[in-house]
Amino acid sequence: MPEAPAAPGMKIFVVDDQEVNRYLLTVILGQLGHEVHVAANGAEAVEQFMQISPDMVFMDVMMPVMDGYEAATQIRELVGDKFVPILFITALRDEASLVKALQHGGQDFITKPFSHAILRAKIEAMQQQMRMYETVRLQRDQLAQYQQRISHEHQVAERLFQKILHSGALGHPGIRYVISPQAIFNGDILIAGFRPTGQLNILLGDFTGHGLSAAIGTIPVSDIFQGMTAKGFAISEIAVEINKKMQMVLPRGLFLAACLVEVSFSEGLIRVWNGGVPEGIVYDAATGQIRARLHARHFPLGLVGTEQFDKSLDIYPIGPADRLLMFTDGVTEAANPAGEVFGDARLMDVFHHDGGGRADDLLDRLIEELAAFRGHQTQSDDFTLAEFRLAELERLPDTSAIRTSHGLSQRAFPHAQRDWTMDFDFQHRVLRVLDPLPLLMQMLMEIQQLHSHKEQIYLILAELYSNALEHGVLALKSAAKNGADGFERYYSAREHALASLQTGFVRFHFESLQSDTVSKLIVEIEDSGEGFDVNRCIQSEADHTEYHGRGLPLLRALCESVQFNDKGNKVTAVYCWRCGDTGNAGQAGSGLFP
Amino acid sequence: MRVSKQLSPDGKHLTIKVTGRFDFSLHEEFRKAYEGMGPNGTSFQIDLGGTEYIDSAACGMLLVFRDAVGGDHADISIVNASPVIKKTLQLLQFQRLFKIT
Repeated sequence: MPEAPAAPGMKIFVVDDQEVNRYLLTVILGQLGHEVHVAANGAEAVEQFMQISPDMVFMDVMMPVMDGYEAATQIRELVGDKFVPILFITALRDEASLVKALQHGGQDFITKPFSHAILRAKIEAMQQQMRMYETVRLQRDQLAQYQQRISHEHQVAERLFQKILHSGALGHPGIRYVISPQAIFNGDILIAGFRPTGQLNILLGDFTGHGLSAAIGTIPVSDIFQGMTAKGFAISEIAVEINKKMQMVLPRGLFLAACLVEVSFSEGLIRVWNGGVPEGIVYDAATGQIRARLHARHFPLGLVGTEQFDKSLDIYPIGPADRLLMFTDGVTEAANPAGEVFGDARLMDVFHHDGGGRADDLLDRLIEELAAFRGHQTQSDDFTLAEFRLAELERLPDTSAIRTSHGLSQRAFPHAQRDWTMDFDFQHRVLRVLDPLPLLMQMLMEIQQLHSHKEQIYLILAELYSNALEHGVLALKSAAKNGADGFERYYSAREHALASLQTGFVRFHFESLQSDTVSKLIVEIEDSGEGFDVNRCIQSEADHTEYHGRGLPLLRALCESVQFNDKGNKVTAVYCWRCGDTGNAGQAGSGLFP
Repeated sequence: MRVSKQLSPDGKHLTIKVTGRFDFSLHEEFRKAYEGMGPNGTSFQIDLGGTEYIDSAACGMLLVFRDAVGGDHADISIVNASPVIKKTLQLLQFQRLFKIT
């Protein structure tokens, strides 16, 4: 604790119209080791005060020109913040005058005739007060400095968190979100990113507890999410990893309520894993109709161990005008001055406003309603609210390679040499638990400088693999996906069939060919299924209104050639590019949405 | 006192009652209410009849409490919760960890 040093010798200013008093005080105070300055009346004292800058003032009351009261008042104004005690010198005995002296800013008074001992005692008492005052002043200044530093650090931290948590795809015009500054420091987190194959992964989370400890936890979450999304992992796998990490780092009682969503444009559906976040809403912006609520079926992340963790997903179909609204409990639990909470019912009212109809401005209306409901209590704003305009977010994986591949003929490839081949055979027991795509992608990227073609290659593998697994090994029929219910049935059938898979395999063969000017990657994939009628399938390609059936045309667009064997259980796709072509010339604009 | 407790005469049943806002500020008080009660066959009842509001930090406190008195083997029921609080608890799947009636 800081303390002002003791001041044995002070500068004392004696103001008295009687020379004898000035003389006496000068002698006595001088003997006590102080430096003495004198003035003969109040006006003189005020005039000289700033120049002398004394530590203490002895002030007579009755003086010509300006009396002691007035002088004391003016001196108080001059010193401002600094503590300079004024002691009134008085022969007065009446209480009223003494009170008046104190009221005019005097700290104390001394009476004539002067007593050496009393003077000394009073000066020491004043010095004690001055030290205390100085200590308080120092602490106040330090506190102010500290406060300033903290508020500066908060600003820096806020910017930092904004960068960490709100990078990725959140800048996309199809995403609108509000996250209150308070919410950032209370551990709300919103992240979104595109997978190499074009799906959008979203995470909205809310840590239990408040303050720094909650906020810090968002950093590893963001790292895992963004890293795995870029590598092409599905949200179920990301949820498993984040859960594992949270179990490891969070103390008991702290956990992350989170909702993960994966928007698959090519399939026209979203997959959802919700652990403890209020039910998000999928709605049709054209009609205002609510199509689905994203139910919370799981424990929040970090609450149970991996062996108990349930990574199963819910699947909801989406249409072209659909939007997804997600929010934290700060929205439903926002309170008005009477202590009532906003609640889900009021949220629904916003949807049913005007008896339905277009819901283009729903997010704005909701924000307005919320602000109106809360009244002036905006200080404790602690919510995150995000809207995703699904159709606008559709991003085709880069298909710029098409230009190149169309321009190539077999004759341009006479002196090709095989660089490497690679074979994999995944049997049913592995297929049950492993998604081989991220693994294969990583290997391909390690072997050859394919990074600029990563998105295309991933898409080709993903289409080939899901076809082989779902229609080959699991023998599911695409047509089962028809209609809104069909979707859910299809994917729960897929999940069920995969979990109980007793036989079957998927084999991959990779081959890389190089000439001076052209590179080719040949991917062959074979499954244990019955195969299918290749011709019939190609016939139905023209029909674009179905929920399914977009895989093959996409493959053909990306690859130089796609060939099935007669049985239909083996596909050979050839991806081709010119040496030096980065493959990332531009974004494809055509939409996959029906 | 926003947290009160009552032990049955035979010492086999502890009721903890929380009134007002159940949030992190009750951390100490709540912990003290079950202090010393290990996993020893006692059954517990958390009475939220007087609770106006529960936040996620309080939910975390309930988990810590559950672990302290026996985890999966603990016998804990949460009673008299308002519909809003019940909804919050269900959102976090607490009905799988506690008996919520």
